[in-house]
Amino acid sequence: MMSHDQAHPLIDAFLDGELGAVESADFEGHARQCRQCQDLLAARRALLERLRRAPLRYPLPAGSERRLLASLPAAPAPRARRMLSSLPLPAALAASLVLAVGAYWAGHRHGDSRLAAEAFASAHVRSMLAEARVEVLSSDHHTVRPWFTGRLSFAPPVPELAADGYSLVGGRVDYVDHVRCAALVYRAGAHWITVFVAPNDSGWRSGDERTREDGYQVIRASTGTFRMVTVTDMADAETRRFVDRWLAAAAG
Amino acid sequence: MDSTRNARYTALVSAELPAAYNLARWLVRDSTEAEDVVQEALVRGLQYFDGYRGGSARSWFLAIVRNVALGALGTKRRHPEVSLDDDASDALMDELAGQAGGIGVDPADVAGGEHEREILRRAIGALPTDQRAVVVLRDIDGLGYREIAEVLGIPIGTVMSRLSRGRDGVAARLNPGGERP
Repeated sequence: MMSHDQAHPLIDAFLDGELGAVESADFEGHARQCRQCQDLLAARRALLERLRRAPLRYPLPAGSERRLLASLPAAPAPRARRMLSSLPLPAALAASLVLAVGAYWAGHRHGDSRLAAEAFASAHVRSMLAEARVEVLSSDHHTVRPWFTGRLSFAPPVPELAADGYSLVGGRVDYVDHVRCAALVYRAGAHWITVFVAPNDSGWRSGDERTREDGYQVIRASTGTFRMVTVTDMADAETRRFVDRWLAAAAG
Repeated sequence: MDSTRNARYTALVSAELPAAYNLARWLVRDSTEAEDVVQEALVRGLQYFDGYRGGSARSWFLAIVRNVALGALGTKRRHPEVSLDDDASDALMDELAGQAGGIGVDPADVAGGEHEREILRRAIGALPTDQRAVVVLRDIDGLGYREIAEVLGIPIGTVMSRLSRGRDGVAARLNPGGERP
């Protein structure tokens, strides 16, 4: 017969079904006669049930699976590379030369990512210093969104994020990194957030990335139709949360 | 050749990303840092992929995640002076809050009626790292003892004792008047 000292350390393994058949039967034999073990079992069952019922798992942030896998060389090859690999060698060489020249011009036109990030950070800071940070004032996207009509060649998404703790202050038209864009201004407590929005084909650098400029975070992301660049002085984690909520709301 | 290897790898690990992120998030206590950990684990996993001999892909990949996460925590402890940027100081604040009895609570979650979840998360979050890892893998991810032993690189007996102590710790924090000394 199993003693209490032998049985006690086995309670969890017993409940988890991790004991062998013999050990399990021995444990049960002891527990039937041991008031202390019965109490411990009951308390433990209640705890495990409580843990099971609560969704304690931290879900992957929206979009991060794509972001993570995109960073691997295993990610689907960019279209240009896939096309190249199917071409005969001389043609591929010629094509890559064209691509390289194109990349040079694209880089030349928009500067490197550092310069572009600087441009977004400055636009954000400039607006913070200005008398009026926004041209249309609102806490309601129904007045902000139509305001852009006629001022821009596209209708930017204007997500309402009050439920997530970000109030929409308003919007303005801005010109950043060679592109005429919508600038949406949000507020979270003492922090200000500017989201610059332009169509995907506007010429802004593509791809998701995060840089820092003078203590400001500059995060680029895409909704599929639009590119968005977020600038704020919030902490990294909070900024990421904001971007995820914004993208989810803009898509919804 | 290389691309089929990479494609096989991606297929294998992409299914494990949610568990990987969850484990990393519980260990480093910060969402951005957890994503960085998973990212680094993905890169390292690809380097080690030739050494993967089949078996549980989950254990294999989570073991890498756990190594990267503990490495990240270790670096932070050894060089507290470099942890002044936002990422690290957030995690540090979380850690301090965790030691004081509570991980930072997201007000939006509480407002959404997630009180119970926050209480349980705090109780688990306050456990020492080695017990926390076992409780998360067993009671949140539902792994078996053998898998947990593989992920953490410890004997099954150690899994059992850490799990028991971890659950005792959670119970004690949930009922402070009860078994707590």
